[in-house]
Amino acid sequence: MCRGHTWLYRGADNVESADDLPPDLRPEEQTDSDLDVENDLPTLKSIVGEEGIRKLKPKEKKRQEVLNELVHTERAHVRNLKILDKLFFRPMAAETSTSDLAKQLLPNIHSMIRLHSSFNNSLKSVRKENPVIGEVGNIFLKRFDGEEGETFKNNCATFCRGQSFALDALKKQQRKEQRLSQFLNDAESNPLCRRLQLKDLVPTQFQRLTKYPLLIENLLKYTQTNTDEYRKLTLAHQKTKEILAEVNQSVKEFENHQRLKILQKKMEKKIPQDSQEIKRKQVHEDMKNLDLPQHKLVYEGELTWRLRPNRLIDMHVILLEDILVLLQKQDEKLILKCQSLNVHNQSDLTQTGRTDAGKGYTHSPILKLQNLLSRNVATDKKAFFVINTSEAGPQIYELIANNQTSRKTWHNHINSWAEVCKSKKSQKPAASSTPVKSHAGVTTPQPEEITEIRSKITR
Amino acid sequence: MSMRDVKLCLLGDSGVGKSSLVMRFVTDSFKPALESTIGASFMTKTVEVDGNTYKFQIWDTAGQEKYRALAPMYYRGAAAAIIAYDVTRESSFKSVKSWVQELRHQGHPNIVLAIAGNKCDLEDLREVRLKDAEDYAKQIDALFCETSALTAVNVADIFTKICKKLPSEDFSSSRVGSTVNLRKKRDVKKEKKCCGGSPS
Repeated sequence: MCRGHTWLYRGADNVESADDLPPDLRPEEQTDSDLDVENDLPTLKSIVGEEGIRKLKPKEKKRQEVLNELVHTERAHVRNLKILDKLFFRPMAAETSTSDLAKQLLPNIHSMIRLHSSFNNSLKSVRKENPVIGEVGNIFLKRFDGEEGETFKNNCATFCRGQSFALDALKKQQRKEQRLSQFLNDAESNPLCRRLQLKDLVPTQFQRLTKYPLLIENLLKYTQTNTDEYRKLTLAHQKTKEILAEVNQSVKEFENHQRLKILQKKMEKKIPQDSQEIKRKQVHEDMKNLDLPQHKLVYEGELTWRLRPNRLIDMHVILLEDILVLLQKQDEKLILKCQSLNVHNQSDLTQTGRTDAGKGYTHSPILKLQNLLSRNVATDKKAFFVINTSEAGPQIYELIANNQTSRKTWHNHINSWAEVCKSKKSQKPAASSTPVKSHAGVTTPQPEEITEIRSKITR
Repeated sequence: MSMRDVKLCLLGDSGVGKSSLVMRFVTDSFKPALESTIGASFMTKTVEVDGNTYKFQIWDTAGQEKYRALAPMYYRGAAAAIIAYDVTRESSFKSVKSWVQELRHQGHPNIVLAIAGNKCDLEDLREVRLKDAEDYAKQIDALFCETSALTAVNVADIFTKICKKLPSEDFSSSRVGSTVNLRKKRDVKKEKKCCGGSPS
């Protein structure tokens, strides 16, 4: 299956019609030069000529080399996006069985093509004016700064954030559906793909984004520092890094959100019978209303809850930005239920799982971070206390991590996020920015309370 | 002869010399004129080891070290990963450990790990002892070399070692999807004939 290194696009493939697209995105006929890019970087000599090179000062020559690379790789990137559109997105979007997948994999491919094409065209036209390229600061700022830059950033975030999940979905569907697998084989055999599979081509966008700061850094090295061009490039450099940071954040949030959806599905709620007590009612309400994807995930992991010296239960603990959720592991399920530290209530409570079994519980599985603090257990290097300082008096949860490092991580995460919640609360006492409804009766622990609790646990 | 595509991902702290390692490996033999290719999304290089041809598709993570949420997109589906550190910077060796953890946790279970202690030509500035790194690599069953992209010491070597350690059954980058398919069957058979006795 060896293929040549160079190829020419012949436009022999059938392409779905796409009338809703602007003219420059209509299915390309034989003439789309964007698809016709050499894989290898052309030498600078081939572009500015031998004579031209001889005239360049060493520093300017270096600068031209970076620009040559920028122009070439931007063109190659536009080509990659168009290949994704032409060979994969359009055919897949036209099939009912794969149209969702196509939109998941390449959600806004046409916007991405448009945005990169305009940048590509600006670069091409500046080179057309003069093969020895002049200032490019403005071209960069036009793409990455201001309102245009915002649009670009948002589109990049949309394009990249769900990629991992989409690629997983692709893998699954490919395994199940012979037709899809056959389609991909055929499409990937197209010389345009250069032996790359769809899954190798999809990441092209975020990879490209990581290259801009590097390219601009290199340009800055060969640009006079006291010039306007230098200032513009510096700003562009900062902007491209902001775009990356935004995409990174967006990916993280999206994936955490997906993860919470999975956890929510696995979660089984065992809500105790109605109670007349206001405090208990509230606990039950909180349990009923708990919807993990409405929160933001900070950290999660396995911990053991020591209810009594000889009563240990395995937990899956989820730290969200505003609450800590303790779920009991039971086979594949994660059980949300109240626990009791008292011996006589406990015996039948874990076994039966009946809703009235939690009558005598003492500890709720949902803890508000603003009331929490974590302290190490002095006698066990792997254990830590989570102290809940609600108005009903402090409650202590003793949790055991797998090792010391894990304890440290939990301890730090809980305390720092609790701090965040406390400071948020003191800033705006009335309106809570979190999706969870705040309710009356919750007080932030006073410093003296904390000292008191601390003195109880540190012997 | 069988031809195998190997996706390889290069990880490690900023400034340890990831791109230089790739450049040394890729251009040493056939693209000497290439000055800098940081703009390319990945580079390829074909090597022959024990009569088999391996086509490396090298994904360099240079420039995105800070953006950890993007990292899985690099190593997803990778058959091998090189985690590089700088022998003159202890902190970069510490990061190796966190990368190993992440790969073990999220990467492909059969991923071949290699650790490269780069800049070994700077002996007098050394902060990471050879023995410490060697022991660590052994402990996690990773390949290990001290390399120098400058003098080319061990650079090609680490890639050869990776080829030899790849599981004989191609698991991630078989050219032709994962469902039953005539072409794939043929490929697999061919491969077994060629490299029959698994090297591992």
